Amino acid sequence: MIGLTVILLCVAALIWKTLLPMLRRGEFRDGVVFSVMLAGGAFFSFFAANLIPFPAPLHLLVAVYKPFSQWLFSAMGWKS
Amino acid sequence: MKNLLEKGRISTRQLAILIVFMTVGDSILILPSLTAEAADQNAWLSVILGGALAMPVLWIWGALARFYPQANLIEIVQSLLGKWLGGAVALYYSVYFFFVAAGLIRELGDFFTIQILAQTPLRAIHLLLLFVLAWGLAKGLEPIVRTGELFFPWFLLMLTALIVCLTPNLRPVNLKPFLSEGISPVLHGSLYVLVYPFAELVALLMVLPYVNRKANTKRDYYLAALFGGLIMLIIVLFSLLVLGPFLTSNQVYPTYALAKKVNIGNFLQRVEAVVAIIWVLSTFFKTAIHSYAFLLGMAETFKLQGYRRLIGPYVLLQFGMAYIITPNFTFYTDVLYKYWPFWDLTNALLLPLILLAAHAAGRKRTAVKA
Repeated sequence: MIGLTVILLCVAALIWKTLLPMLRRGEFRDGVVFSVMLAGGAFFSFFAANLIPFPAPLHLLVAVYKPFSQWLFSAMGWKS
Repeated sequence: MKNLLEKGRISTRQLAILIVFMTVGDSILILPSLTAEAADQNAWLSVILGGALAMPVLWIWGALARFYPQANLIEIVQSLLGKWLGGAVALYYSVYFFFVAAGLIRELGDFFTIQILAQTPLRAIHLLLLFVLAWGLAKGLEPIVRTGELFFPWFLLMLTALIVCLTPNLRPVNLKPFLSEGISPVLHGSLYVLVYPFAELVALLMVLPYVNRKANTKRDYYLAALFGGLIMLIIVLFSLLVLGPFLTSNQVYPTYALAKKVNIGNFLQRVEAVVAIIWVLSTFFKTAIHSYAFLLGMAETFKLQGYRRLIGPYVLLQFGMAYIITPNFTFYTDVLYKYWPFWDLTNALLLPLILLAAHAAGRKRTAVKA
């Protein structure tokens, strides 16, 4: 609960201090990128703040490079 | 194409210091165990071979920087690959820099919570680092690099003191037998030397346009990388000579274990914090440059007015990502050992080669038209 509150406060502060002035100046592209990053940051921070398990992005890296890695380690006789 | 997002300029000396910091980076803590796991007592040969293999990679980046002296990596990508493919590759590179930074922040947190501050939550360490990082990024490239310049003598002094204090504990017998299993394990070990100290320097392509180039810039670029490689060779060699290949490969942080061995006259002992300071310094600058590369990359890719405005969301993103990037330390080490090197090689070697090929093809097309 405290974690979520702090995250929401940070998001609110960033919107107040950065996003709103950007939109007032007509910097809409910056505003969109800022908003997407802020939403992503709030989303992932929620999991970190509340210690909720989340699928590790490194699993994607493993999925992409596993076939090549296994082939190379096997071909070169390297310790795995 | 003159970059308008970064107005700061750094000197060749500052670039050289940055290269040394980034080469040492997190490698001072993770490289000895990775190379010893692969090559056992011949891990020091892996460092020499890996350093030699890194020079052509540095040359490729240098060539790109020479052909496009005022463009950073993102601008080069967009210029060579066009609006849509270039945009996609530019975004991909930004994401890569983001994940390298997330990994470094996580490594720092894991190191402190495993070795020094065992009762402290991981996220607290991450937050502390992120605040300092955000402060540095808000100030810009020049202050970050100038800070590196200020800390560099202390970094060298502490490293030298550590090395000197360890010399009574050296056991050359730990290096035998020499090449008992042939060259293949040495090649394996050299893969980690190629990627972790050197290939991850690809982020420097985001910084090179802002260097005030002199006649000695090119020479100092290579010399700094070689000096960083020399530091890594000494660290790996000392790990093997003092701890031996078994302990080096099985210790979570062999350099930290190395520092525990310092005992001069039962007076000078328990200097492990020195290793922690060295590592925090080198990892901080590596993280700062990757973070800067991500922010500048995002601003360039989406044609934003500035990159500093993204620091707030970046801190939130990293706070989350540094925690979720890996479920535990064991999984992370496994990825570092088997999979991450190939991602680094894709981004540091394969893609730059494709960019060079695209540049050459563009020049040929221009020559044919003429």
